[in-house]
Amino acid sequence: MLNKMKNIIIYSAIVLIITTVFMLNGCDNPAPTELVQDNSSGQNPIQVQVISKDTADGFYNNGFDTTGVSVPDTGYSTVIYLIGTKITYNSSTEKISSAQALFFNRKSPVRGLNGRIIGYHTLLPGDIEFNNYRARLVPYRVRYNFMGNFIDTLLGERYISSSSMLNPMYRFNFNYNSLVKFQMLSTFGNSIEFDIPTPAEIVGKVKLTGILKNKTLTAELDWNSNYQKQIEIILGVIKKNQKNPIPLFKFNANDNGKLIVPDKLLNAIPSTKYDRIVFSFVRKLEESKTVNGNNIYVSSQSIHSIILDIP
Amino acid sequence: MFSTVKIWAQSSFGLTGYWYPGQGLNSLMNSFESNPSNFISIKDWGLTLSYGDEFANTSTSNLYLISISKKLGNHFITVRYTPGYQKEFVFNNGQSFILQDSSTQSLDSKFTYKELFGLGYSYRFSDNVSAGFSLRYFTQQFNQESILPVFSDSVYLIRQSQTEEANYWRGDLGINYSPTDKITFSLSSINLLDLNENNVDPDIVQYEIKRQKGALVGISYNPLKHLDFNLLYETENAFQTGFNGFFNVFGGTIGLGITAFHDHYQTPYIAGIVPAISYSSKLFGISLSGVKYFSNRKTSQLLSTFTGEGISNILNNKYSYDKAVLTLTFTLNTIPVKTAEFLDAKILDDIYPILSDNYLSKPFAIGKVVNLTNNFITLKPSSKIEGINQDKIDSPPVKIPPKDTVEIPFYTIIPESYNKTKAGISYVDFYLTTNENNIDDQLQKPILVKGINAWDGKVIYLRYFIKRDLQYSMDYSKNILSNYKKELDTLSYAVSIFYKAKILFNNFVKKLVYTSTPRAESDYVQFPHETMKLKGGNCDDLSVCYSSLLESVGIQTALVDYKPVNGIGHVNVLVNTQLSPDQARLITKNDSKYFIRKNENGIDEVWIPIETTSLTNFETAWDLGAQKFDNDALNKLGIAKGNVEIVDVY
Repeated sequence: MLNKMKNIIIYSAIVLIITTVFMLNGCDNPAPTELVQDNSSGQNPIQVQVISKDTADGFYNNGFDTTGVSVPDTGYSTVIYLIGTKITYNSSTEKISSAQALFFNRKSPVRGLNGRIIGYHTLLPGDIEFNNYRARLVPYRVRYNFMGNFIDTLLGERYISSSSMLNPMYRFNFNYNSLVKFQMLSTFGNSIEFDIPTPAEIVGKVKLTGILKNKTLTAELDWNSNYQKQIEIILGVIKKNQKNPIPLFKFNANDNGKLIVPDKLLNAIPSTKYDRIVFSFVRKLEESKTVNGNNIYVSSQSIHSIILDIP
Repeated sequence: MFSTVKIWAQSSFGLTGYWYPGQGLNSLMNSFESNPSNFISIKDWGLTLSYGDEFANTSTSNLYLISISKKLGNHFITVRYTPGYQKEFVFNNGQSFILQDSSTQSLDSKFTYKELFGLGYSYRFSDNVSAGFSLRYFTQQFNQESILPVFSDSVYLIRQSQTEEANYWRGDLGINYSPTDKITFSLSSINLLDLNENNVDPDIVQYEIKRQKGALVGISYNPLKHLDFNLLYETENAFQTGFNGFFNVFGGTIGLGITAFHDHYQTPYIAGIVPAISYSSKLFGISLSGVKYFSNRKTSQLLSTFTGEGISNILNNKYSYDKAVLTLTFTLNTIPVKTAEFLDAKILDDIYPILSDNYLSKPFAIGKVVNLTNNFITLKPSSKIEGINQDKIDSPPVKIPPKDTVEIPFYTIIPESYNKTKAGISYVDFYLTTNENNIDDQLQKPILVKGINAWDGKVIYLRYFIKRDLQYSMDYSKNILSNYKKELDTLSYAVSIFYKAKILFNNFVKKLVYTSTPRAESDYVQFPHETMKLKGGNCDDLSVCYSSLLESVGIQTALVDYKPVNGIGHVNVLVNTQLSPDQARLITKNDSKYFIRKNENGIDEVWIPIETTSLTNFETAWDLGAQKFDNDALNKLGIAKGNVEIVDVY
């Protein structure tokens, strides 16, 4: 009997050792399967970027605003924008077309009180025409925040052609999915002339459901898809009793006509602070070219901004 | 805790393929997938470890399963922990965000499906019917990253990880039936019981394991002793089929098996095979199996397909990789294994304690025993009669061929100290033992133990009554003979035995009265001291007493058994005078009064018959004895015919 007990103990010890070795060496997990997005997955991949880090700033430190008339620093010495904007609020839509050209003196940076470069002084090389419509000169200012105060700084002038329902003097318009002729009639050197292609017009639609206070707000965005690369959608908010929107986030999404805004982004918006929400659909064509030794950045955009009361 | 009850189904699949569960290979236990009823054949304890390697882009190894099984009578219990029964999917959930440094970070999702542990129970109703159930616990974790904006003095985005869990229990019932040795049927449910621990987000429900309700029907057919064909069909339009072959080598069994499986959710029609090889011995089993899929198993698959179809099985789905699995099983048997068992035991006769020596050479019972193993075994039979034996009395060991049935004799020892005079019912325990420690089988039978005076009527056994009181007889005889010392000293040595017999008889009969009781087949015999004390007895008692008196002083005697005629027998005594035939005239001139017998050396000696019931004197008793012997034994040819038998006391 003693022998049998001894054998059982030895046998059990061997089993225990083998079991322990197995368990210590068995800690890997089986290989996961990676699933990749495909066109039929039913989801539109989006990329989210914060635009306004400072929500007290009505302007766009990153060069955006929800009207699309922002001028981001592209690093080029010459930038040309063609922007067709629609702003829809309470079932009415205002259309604005604008074209502007800026010539920066890269050798003359302008620094703010905080020492950072806030822009460059502009140059006026001659007359500018868009589709033979001569642009006028307007002051070019930038605003920046310094120790809680917003400071306007004049950097020079820029060329603008625009149309506005409010001002019949300005009647510049251009066609979408077409070409706009750009001409620079130089005062000192060679004149420049080239065509700027324009994108297909974008028409957006927003369906809001749920209630922000209850953190159940959802936003389903639709637009006329063009299946060309991507579009940008800018989500902004408007403070109570104020007019100017504050752009918060930019979404890059495929131009497939549909996007569901991530719930968490929407429902994190402080409901007590803002009473309107703005979605700007931006379809743009961009190109850069070198003409007569000048690096020129050209951007033509169709923008549809939709302002809605936050439910 | 359990908020909803849903009935769905999940297909079955085991990493070792499908083997006939009742085959007894101890390396292939605990596959609740194909064996929900826990139909296993262990003898006591079983511990199983499965260690596997999965061949994706990189090879990963891990412990698939550890389980413990226990048999308690006809109850079989299995508990298993399955850390390797899991499947994980990772994918970009379509969202990303741009950091301040213009770098982009993607948001990922990770769905993890696990079967953590299980419990199996079965009950064996008979050799061919068993039923049981299994209960298994599954976890499903759906981890999704999302962007959460934080509005404070400034706006910034943080990455947030959120995990939804959808854990559930699955329970199934099953029954196994073997109408013959060659065929076994099994019927089990699939997802009969499905208990969810918690509700999940409606967006997540589509990703849960599909658990359709169904049934599992199995059939195993073994046309040859070492070959099984198996088919397992699921009502979800899936099946497994294959065969197993077995070879006995190296003191164990090698098993080879291959299983092909078809799964409704996978392509091609035969989605893959599971080859397996195993070796099982008494103490351990080891098996090596593999899963080979016939379709290309890429590590990257389309999210849309997964979203649309999901999975219905953790171990076996269209995203599973080829595997190799090593399974080790250890069996520990603390329960004695029955290698032989009694079919019956037959008591040959009642126990006559006086016949003690007789039981050393003659069995008192015969046991019918079967060898249950496939090997030769050597059995040590033993027995213990209550009231007689203090310990087990071993009988000679017996070697039994495999699966053979033999009759085993049981012998016993009656201690000399046994002196109960009354008969009584007792019990005898029979034991079969193959080694020193374990009793393979035992059986109890009632037995009638007679009193110490009981006699079965066979004259040959009267010797035991003669011998038992030898010390009393010696004292008695010596005491008498000492009174005749002078007379005996004057006699020649040749006739001294004759005269001693004469003196002892004459003194003996003076005190006695014959009680005539016809001698039956079974009787009661007095020991010499009882006869002397009771002053009488029948022919048995008187012959025993007189023979004992003579034997105690070295005078050889024999009993003459006059076998029953018309139911009445008789016994008297022959005394060896050690005279030669030539010396016979020293005691008589009548040659019909003595009888010549050869001693062990072949020398003729004169024996005289004494009728002990003639309680007159020696001469008369001699005459009567001689007449009866001459008449019955010689003239009527009693000895030749067997009607008269001379039984030597020694």
